[in-house]
Amino acid sequence: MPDATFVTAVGIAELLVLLLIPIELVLASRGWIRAEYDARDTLANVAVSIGSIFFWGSFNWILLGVVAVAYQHRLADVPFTWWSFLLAFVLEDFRYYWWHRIGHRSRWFWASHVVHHSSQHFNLSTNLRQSWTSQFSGLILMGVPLAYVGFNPALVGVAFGLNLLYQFWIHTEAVDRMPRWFEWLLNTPSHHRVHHASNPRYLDANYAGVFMIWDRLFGSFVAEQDDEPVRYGLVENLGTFNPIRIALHEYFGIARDLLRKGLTLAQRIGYFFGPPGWSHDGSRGTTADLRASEQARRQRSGHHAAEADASGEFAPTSVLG
Amino acid sequence: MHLLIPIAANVVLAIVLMALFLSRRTVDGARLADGDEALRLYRERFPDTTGVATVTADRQGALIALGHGAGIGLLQRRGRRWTARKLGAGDIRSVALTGGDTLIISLADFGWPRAQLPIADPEDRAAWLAGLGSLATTSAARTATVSTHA
Repeated sequence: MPDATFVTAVGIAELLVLLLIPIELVLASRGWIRAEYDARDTLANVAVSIGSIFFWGSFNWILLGVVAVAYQHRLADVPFTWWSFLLAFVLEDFRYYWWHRIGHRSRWFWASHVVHHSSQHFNLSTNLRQSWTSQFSGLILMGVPLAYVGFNPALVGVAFGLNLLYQFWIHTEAVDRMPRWFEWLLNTPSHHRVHHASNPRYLDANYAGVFMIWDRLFGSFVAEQDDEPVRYGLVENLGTFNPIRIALHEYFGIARDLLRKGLTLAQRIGYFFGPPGWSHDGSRGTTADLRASEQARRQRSGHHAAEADASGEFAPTSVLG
Repeated sequence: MHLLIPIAANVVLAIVLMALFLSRRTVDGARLADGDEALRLYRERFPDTTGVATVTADRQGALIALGHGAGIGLLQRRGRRWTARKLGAGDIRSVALTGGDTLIISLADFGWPRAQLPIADPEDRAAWLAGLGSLATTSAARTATVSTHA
């Protein structure tokens, strides 16, 4: 079992990082670093956090129970050593990547995770805006494999805690770019800004927790472009700071769609498990649709710019190159 | 019991942040300059939008008559940011006039339940009340809208 002191230390560290939020706010308000705080948005983040802690803590027994059963039937005993901890950390990050990717690609799971993306700001307090329903979506089953293989659940729990702790500092605009090797290997503020963007070019990208290699391997990596500033938030942003509405809005959206009259079973399944933005009549837009529209728009504007160039007309792109 | 410490930490954090916001008197106050700016902001979400925008009296929102009968565009300030929706049939539960000049739109959207839009010009206000009312979900709501207007 991991040393209890170590487990406690991770917990205390997770509380101490909260101190960084007011520090970032003060430094930003003095103009020393880049960060933007909005009072109601930030306080909504804290309110959502309190709800998240309550629901996570109250229903944690579901995850613990599932993992305990898997561990009872484990295939082997992975010893508790430094290398097994490193291995657990990497494998846990791999699990996180897929958990996160599914959480973005299917509406039922997105309904839980969307909470974290619902702020139009991006600062350290954005960390606090976490799901209230993560124990109920079904994705906790992704905690089974490591325990079933034989990793001690407490060891995996610590790896998970450290993973989350790492992700705290990447929710910031205060850091522009890290050294090139760092940006290649690890998740950074730049990569995570892209992840929180609603620009079509950036949607559904950079799911990594710690190691960016998963995105590079599985084709979901998108680099932040200096010529396209990130717009944070959702494609359809919320018109409320009410934490209950923030936490549950997508479930109500799903229910509203499922209750539409005249839909086939396949269409109802599409509204439930299909990608966010899917609609039976194409009236909304998935990430693929939004990207295609954006690309067509860019091509049109490029075409117009080329024509204007040929005719000697002024066109911004001809000036900017 | 194990939840008390992290919840208490968040409550303390909220108090500290509130104190900081109050002491620094940060203003969460973006305002629209004119209809063109409203359209520009709306196009960030709906890029090919054409239409005519009516900016609200407090310059914190706008209604946009979308071209080709495509519905109504709604833009409203949310802190320092803007939120936009394209409203079509069924997206509005009801619309009412209150305080003489303010339209209250009840939306069929759990993530944006209500929009409050003061419109100074009486003709614009009447036109928007009728336009929004025509998109209201039920005939009862439409009737209520008309009678409120009358």
